[in-house]
Amino acid sequence: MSGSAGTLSLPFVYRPSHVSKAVILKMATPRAVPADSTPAEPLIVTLTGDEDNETDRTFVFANEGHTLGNALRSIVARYPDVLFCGYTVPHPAEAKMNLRIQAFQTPALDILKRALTDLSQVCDHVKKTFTERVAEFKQSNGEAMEMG
Amino acid sequence: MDRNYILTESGPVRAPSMPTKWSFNTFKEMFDIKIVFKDDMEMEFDVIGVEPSLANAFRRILLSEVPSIAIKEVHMYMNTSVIQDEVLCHRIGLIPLKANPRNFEMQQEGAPPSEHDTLEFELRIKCTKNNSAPAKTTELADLYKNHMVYSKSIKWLPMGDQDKMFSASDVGPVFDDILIAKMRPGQEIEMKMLAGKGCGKDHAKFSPVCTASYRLLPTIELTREIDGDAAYRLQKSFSPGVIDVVQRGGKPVAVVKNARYDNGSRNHMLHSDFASFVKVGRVPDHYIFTIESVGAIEPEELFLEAVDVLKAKCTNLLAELNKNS
Repeated sequence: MSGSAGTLSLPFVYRPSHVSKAVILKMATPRAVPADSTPAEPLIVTLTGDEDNETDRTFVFANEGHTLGNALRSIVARYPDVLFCGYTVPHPAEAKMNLRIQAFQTPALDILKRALTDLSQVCDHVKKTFTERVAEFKQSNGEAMEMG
Repeated sequence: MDRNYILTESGPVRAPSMPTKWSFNTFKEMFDIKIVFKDDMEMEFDVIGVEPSLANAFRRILLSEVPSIAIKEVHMYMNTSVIQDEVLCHRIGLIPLKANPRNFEMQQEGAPPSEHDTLEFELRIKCTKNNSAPAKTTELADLYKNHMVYSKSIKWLPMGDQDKMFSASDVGPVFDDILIAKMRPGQEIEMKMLAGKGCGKDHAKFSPVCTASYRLLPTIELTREIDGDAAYRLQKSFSPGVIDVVQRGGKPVAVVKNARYDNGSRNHMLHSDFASFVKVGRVPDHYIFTIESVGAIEPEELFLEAVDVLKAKCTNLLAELNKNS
């Protein structure tokens, strides 16, 4: 892997034929990797071909699939400043997911960051609501049992 | 009914219309959860006001990305039963364990098992003739001892300080009566088992749920009064409790009592006299979620874990993107 990988700034480039030069982002989560093996692949890179326009990008997510892809797509596709958003899992045997964003003016990277923030906010709200409702359910059922 | 899917003979029609612009505040207004039923193993709840993609993300994560503990290594010292070694090992791997995955770490690849990531179990059992069996009996349970190997025979061997943290009933099989093998006198099984933490996407035995599924809330609308004999025929064409027949103006009239438990049989379409007055549909953003735990963790905890997994995906990626820009 290239030693200068960490110094490149975004937008970054992923060239399928020169994977060794394409490593821009390192793994964020600690994973089971023996010390002497090859470094883990980056969590996210971009596909080559959109270098002259920062509003259009295809992001390649490692170890992700329909779960995150469709959830992100459903949010991004409803942003008013987005022209197109779609996702694909190019091959079922490869744990990779491509998310394509084409915006009118906003950089695609900013859109992706906004979508990730929104989705994590949604998770917080789902968790909060669910916890509240379970507590209410336990309380009302406890009362019903006491009365019965 | 405008926003609902309507079922016709050719399938559901009328696409749902979610708000076209995304805003977190709109989501917050529309979103709600209703708990319908809950016990230690199973729960049913309604998730209202979400897109299919989010409901499906939670379902997929429950099935394959919430970790649980299962036996992943078997050291077989003796197996003279008729079940082949590999089949027996596979059966052993599928036994659900009570151990709480939050108390354990994921075992690092290549690292030796330790008390923080591994539980050790042992199974030693031999089938013998019962010499004190009643004369002329043909019952196998009388003739033989240990001819049925159950999960209760699996003994926990605490590693390190594990016996101070857990008791055997905290970590062992969820059920005592899971049949592992059948034997005859002279046959013997002896093995050690190592259990560890894993995810359903690596092997289904690590899935913490028996099922996690959702369906859309059904709706039924009667566009014209259906009375007399037809009311009873309508009632019979749905599941019990869905349609009620009441007396109105001296004649029986069909009313929709509870569409929730409609099974979507379409049987009402066989009755040409009223088929076109019955509109059966689905509420497109009202999901009836069912989670059945295998027994290690309560179902509501599993759902919260699934939400955490999705959030962790987002925060990890955000951290990665912000670090580089």
